[in-house]
Amino acid sequence: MKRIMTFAAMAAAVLLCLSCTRRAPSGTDPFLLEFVMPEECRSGVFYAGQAVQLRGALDYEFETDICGMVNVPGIVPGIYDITTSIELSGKEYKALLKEPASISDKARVIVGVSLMNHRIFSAEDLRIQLGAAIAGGLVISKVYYSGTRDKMDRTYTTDSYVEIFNNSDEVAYLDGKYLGLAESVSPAAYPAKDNPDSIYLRQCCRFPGGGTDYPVQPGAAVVVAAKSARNHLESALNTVDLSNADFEVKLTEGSGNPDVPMLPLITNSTSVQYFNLLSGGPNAVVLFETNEDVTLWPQVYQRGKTSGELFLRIHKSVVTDGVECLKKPAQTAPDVNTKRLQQDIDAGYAVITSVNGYNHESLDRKVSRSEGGRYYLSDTNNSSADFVVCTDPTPLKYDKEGMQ
Amino acid sequence: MRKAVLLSVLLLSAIWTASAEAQTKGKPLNLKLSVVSDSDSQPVAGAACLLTDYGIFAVTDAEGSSVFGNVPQGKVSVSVQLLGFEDFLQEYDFRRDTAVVVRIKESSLMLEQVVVTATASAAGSSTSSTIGRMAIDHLQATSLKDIMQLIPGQLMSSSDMTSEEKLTIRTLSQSTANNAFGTSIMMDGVPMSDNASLSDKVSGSTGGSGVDLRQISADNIESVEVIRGIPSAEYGDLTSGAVIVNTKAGYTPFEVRAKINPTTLNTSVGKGWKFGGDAGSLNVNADFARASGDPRVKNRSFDRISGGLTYSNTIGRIWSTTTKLSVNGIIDLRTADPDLLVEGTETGQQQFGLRLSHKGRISLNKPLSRSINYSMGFSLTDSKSWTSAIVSADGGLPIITSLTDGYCKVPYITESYRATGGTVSRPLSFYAKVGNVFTANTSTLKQRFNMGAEYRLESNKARGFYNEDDFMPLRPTSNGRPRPYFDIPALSQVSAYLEDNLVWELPLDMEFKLQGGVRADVLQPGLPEQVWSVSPRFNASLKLTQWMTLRGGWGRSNKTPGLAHLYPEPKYTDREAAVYLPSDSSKQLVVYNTRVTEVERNNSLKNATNTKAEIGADFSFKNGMTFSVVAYRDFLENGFGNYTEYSTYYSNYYTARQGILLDSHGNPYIDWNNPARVDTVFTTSGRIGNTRASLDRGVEFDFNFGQIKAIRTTVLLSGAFMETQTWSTGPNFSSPSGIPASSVYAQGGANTPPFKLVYPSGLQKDIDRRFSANLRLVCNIPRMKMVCSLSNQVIFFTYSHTTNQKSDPYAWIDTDLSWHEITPAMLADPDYRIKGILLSAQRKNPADSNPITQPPIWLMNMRLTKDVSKNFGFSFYVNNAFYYMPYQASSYSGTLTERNTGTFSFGVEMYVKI
Repeated sequence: MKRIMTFAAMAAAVLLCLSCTRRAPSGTDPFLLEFVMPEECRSGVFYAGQAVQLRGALDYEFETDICGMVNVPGIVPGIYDITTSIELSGKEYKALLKEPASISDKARVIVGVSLMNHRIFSAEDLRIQLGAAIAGGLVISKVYYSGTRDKMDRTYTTDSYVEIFNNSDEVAYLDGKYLGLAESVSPAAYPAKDNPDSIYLRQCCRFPGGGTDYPVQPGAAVVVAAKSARNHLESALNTVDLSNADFEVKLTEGSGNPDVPMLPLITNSTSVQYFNLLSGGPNAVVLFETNEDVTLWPQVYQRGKTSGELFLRIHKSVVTDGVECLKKPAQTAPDVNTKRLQQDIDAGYAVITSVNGYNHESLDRKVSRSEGGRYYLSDTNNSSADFVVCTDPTPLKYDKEGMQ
Repeated sequence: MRKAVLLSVLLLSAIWTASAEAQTKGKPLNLKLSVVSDSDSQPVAGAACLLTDYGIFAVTDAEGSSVFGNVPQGKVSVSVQLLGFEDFLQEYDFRRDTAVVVRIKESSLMLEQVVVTATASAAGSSTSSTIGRMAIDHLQATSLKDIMQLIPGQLMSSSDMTSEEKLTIRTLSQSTANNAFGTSIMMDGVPMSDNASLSDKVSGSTGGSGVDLRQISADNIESVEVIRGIPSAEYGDLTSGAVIVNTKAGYTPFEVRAKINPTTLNTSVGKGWKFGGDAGSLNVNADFARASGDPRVKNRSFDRISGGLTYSNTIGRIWSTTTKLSVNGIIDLRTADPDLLVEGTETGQQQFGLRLSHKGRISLNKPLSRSINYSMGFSLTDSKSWTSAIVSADGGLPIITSLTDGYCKVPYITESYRATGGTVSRPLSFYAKVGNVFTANTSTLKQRFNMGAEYRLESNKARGFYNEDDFMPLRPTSNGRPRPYFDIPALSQVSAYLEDNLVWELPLDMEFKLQGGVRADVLQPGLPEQVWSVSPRFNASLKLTQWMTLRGGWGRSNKTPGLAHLYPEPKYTDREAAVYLPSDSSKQLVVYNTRVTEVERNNSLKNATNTKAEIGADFSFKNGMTFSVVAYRDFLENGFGNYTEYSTYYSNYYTARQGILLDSHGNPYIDWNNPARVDTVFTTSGRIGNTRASLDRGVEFDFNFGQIKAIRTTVLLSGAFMETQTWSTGPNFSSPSGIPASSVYAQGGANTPPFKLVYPSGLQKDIDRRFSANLRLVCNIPRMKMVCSLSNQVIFFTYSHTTNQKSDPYAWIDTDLSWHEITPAMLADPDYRIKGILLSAQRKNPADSNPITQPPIWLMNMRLTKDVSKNFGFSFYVNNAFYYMPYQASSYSGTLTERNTGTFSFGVEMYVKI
């Protein structure tokens, strides 16, 4: 027995020594992250007490001190996405400015930043300029493109839709607004990293109306059937009823479902007669507004080509909301280099869990708060934070699991 | 062209007249050949003896002797062939009646020289390679395709037999349809034609794209000759070359063979009997092969069962005949995956073929008819492919099945359904050929005239593409209409050829040889779609010294179109006319406008013409070394391809706002005279034209360094530098870009542009180049009855490039099909518009893509064949012996990709002979 004990003790000692030979990867030395408020803010205003996320080799979360600084204690070296944001009311934000601005008190202002693919391999202090953006009243609240499988287990993709939500406290009007779908060719023809100011659209729809014909009440939403406004539940189980959709994308009024108004395609790089959301992505959807005739804006071929699809080029300043839905590769995380939307439109991205789709997953904007049955949706211009994947694609529903 | 024909006919007749006169000089001789076996000096009966210069032949009798009469004096080559023995070929100079004893050697690994590679052809005839039984055994070939790797410039490959195998000659192009279709495969003197095949929409095979070689078992092949150069005028209906396959006939021992490798199992049994006396001999064989391309994917399999019965006899010592009946069955299944069965997908293919051929040669030995040869063949193939699958409705699917022009209300379904359909094809062919050979000689000029006529009849009358239920079609689209083949006419073809083989002995031991001939083919004589062509062909050689011969050739060969080209399927164009899909699905109305476009019979399709030119040199030294180099240029100017032509028609569109009305019950109906929109639709026909061109050129070399006696190893080096360019010569139309999405032209979809632009054709070319060489070391140890070979293939480089030159439209066609020129002044004007569309935006200036080159790569295969005893032996091979599959980057992309993939394989073959 004694010999067994001795042997066991020796074995334990050897194993203990062996275990000591494995070390955790050595971190960087401590360094400072400083977040600087937007330039229009008064001096002496700091980004204090806000959460900052670092996502990369490992995920970290820190909080800024009263001077808007984070004393990072040393992290695993690697490539990180650094994100942070705060939502302020118009009134709150105006109080921070050097000069008065024409921002409504009820407007929502997002102050934040999203720094993608930043290399942190040594302890270098970093000064990061924050930006501010006024969140529009109308936001894209749901994008459903994955499709599903029908009762015979075949792929089913005509049930896709886009939902647009009035996130403000005032009535918003869709009249004359544009819904665009960025180019989605592979490899990306015009990724945002190479095109800091422009977005290239495959398709662009213009909402009808003379200015006040299509009101959207605060907290209400409209559903745009991308391909077919019918009750898809007749053909598949896990899908949606779009027979009551507000719009159906089509080329000719009176075709398709005659009870659903047409959302006309005014530019189209292909000959498909519907809103061409791809079941596996990528789908970068934007909502924009302009007084100009967009059909006169330049249309360009893919770089180096003189035939094929013609993409409509729009300046990012006209965009009021955008959602970047990336394609999920089979093995790896989505490639942020293929993002079509710039950081200030969408600092992050949303993605479904399947490579090719058909798994009835919709991308839904999270609820930030609700007051008496009225939902306010999260809008930080960062889809990674604002959107959640829901396996129930039902439109106009805000109490799904994970949305709160 | 006509001048060339006239010139050749005049030349031939002049030579013939001169030489026929001269022929009477010098007394004709009688010769006696006694053929004995080299091993035991016993007489050999049934050996075919041929005086190749004169086309005179005789078969040895029971005493092993054969007698030739009326033989001109002078030099003559004597060839003796018999199954199981090495070919004998020797030149004699006969000046008086002579008796010669010929010793022929039994094929065996005990021979001093064993040929397990391809042998190059003699000068003065077509450039070709001959592959004998020993080489086929050593290669362990399972199908004819495997044998092709012995041809200079062809890469070593392992076949997996689970997909169609087609044979191409001297090309690097990826689109092989024209080259494979233009390769004639002659089995025992009868062509295996692909002319009557039609596209199979179920299995995905394309009609008129070459014979699938998997149906030919390699175990029953005696020899294969691959003609890559300018073929003799005797061979027709081809462009790229001819493959002459001779199967076993006559006495063979009882032989069982079994080949096993990870993907294929192949067994065969064969036996030949000699009945003695005048009763002839019978050879019987059966073969079974099972292949699964990837041993991990067992649900995809290919089974082949084939058998043959060959009777050969010589009647009265002057009429030799061979009659063969063969059957084969192919079952290509993709069924057994249980997951797929549950899902409801099932696909399969099977084919049964029957061939009956008879060939004979009558030795008349008369001045104007030394021998008459003929062959006849009949073949019938019954092939079926079927599939059962669930057709996805994807939320809404119109089922369009109309077979006539006009508007049709169509069912609109929202649920996927199961559909079953298939293709039944029954190609039938009959072939007959008769030829005559006679000679005319002077003391220095020898001529052998070869002439003949051919008839072919080919048809395919079968059910064609069908759906089990026409209202539940397999493909509810334009391309899914049933197509019965019963109405497709049969193809008939009449050909005639005349050829002179001339040998002119020059002073200083020099010799000039010329094979000059002309061939005429007429397809569908008397019918509107009649196609004809004349093909002159020349091969010449000049022997300067005993060791050096120069040679060259020029010739045209023509391939007639097949059924798939002459009689394409009608084209169905279906356009949406009304889609009324209210939320109440019982009130739906979907109407489509169907337009059927047929290609007329007189469709001006011509034969595909390949013009071949060659120049080369052969060096042959006394120590056994031979070097042969040939540069070639094959220009196929009018291969078969799609031909774009437009017709236009109006198609109405009705909407709920205009044109669709509701009756008192709320049911929709159409007010036909009140369309919401009228589209002018451009539609194409399914026409096939002579729109594909290709240029193949390169240099082939074949060096035999002879045997290094000390290590009993023969060193052979062969290879080729090849280049292939392919392009389209058909009309190049394009819709204009920049049609506003809101305009009526865009609302109608892709086929309603305001006009079509015409661009120059042929500016976009695919160019491929490759330089590869294969060094073969063949070690032969007769005492051990063993032969071992090592093949080292190096691909020094591969190059591929698609030129994409800038082009400007030179004309446009309006919706009424009127033609309008576009002048340079119009192009130069930046604001010039055609029907509102900016012309300057239609100038194409694409970025030329960069050529892609690959770094060198090598591959080594090893093979060994050993006879353990007279009755038992085996072969073993390992391909890519070093498992060399490096990751390499091409010049275009830094991405490393694995090369030599799929080359590693190994296998063994055993055989028993009793």
